[in-house]
Amino acid sequence: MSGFIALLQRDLLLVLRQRGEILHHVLFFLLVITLFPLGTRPSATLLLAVAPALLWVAALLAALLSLQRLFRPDFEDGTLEQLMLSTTPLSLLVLAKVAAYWLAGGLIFVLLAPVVALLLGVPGTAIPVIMCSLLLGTPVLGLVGAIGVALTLSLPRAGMLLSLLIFPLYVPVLIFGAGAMQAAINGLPASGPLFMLAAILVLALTLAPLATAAALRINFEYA
Amino acid sequence: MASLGPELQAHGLGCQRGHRALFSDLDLSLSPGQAMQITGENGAGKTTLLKTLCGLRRPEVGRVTWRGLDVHEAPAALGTDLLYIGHENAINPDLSPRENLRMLSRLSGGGGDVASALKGMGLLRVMRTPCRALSAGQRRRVALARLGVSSAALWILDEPAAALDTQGRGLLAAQIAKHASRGGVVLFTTHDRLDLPEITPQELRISA
Repeated sequence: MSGFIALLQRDLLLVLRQRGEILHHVLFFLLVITLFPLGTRPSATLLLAVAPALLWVAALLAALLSLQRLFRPDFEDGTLEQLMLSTTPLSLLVLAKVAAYWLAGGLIFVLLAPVVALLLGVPGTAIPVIMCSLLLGTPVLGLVGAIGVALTLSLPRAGMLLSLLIFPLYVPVLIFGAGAMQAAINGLPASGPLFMLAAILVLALTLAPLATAAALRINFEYA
Repeated sequence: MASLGPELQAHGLGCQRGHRALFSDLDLSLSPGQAMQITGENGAGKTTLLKTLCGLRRPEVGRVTWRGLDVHEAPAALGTDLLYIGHENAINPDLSPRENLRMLSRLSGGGGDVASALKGMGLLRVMRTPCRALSAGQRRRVALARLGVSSAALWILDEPAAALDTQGRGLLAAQIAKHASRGGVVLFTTHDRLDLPEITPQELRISA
């Protein structure tokens, strides 16, 4: 357990040191959302109709942009070897890395969501559901993305393969996440899709670290 | 020490990279207090051998045991007994030597005195400087400062003397000799001989 805390602290410290990079991802999320309306008709109903999809697509793209940060620097500087040899189980260390990654990305999107939602003309009553949907969904992006990054770690330019691998796995999150928002905007109960998102999160939380740890080992065992 | 027999043993070890055989039928056996220096040409497989011995990588044939337990079958066989310093330093450029060392020592379950270990490596003045600003030799020293905080019995060091100056090599040699005299086991690779005070390391030369 001390390894988990040590790694979490270190990664959060790194987030502070590498503020610029984090800011870049947040800015990207905001830019996608603010630029989109400029490219369409100035119509409030249209904007309201696409707002859920827009929020989620921006979050997905921002996640994809930053996923490599999870393991690649540690792979290149040898830290990952040390993580593999640690007495703390590797899956727990993976969880620490994803937790730090989410705190510096997904959580910020959740906190920004009310501002962005109002910007898109979403009624205030839908905002709690929008935040809930992002709160339940964004950790899944990191957890599932970690599997993809771990699998493609030994490949020199893994960007395209990574996208192909994990986008299909992101689809359920997109459907239920945007579905919950859509329901809330239309004044309908949103608990159904939110429960589905919560179930996906629990599934990812329990299985993804194990899968990621196994995928990381492959990079070393048969190197 | 728990046992006086050999602690680290390898039997009929063979590894290949891609389709190229690196070494085969390699046996080694190290008892408490012994050091071994592994030499060989570039690309002969020194790093692969070390990674195989510490359990990071699976051998194509053969097995490695530590105190009787198979390193590749029993995941906890080495546990806190191992200190591995690889070819890469495992040093993050955005963290200071102190922060790097503290994380690495906590990760391997130890909690030694980080400041005095850095001081022992002559890094007192740059303890709080981001590692980005340090020279290659200084960064190597940060990695080697782990020797001072570790309580592991088995040290596996990959080119520990790379980028070090004469004084740094002296510090390293003294650490290795001290560890062996306390009953530890040290394995290291090197290009040019590292002269250890008081003890004579075994030599293993691998060639394809």
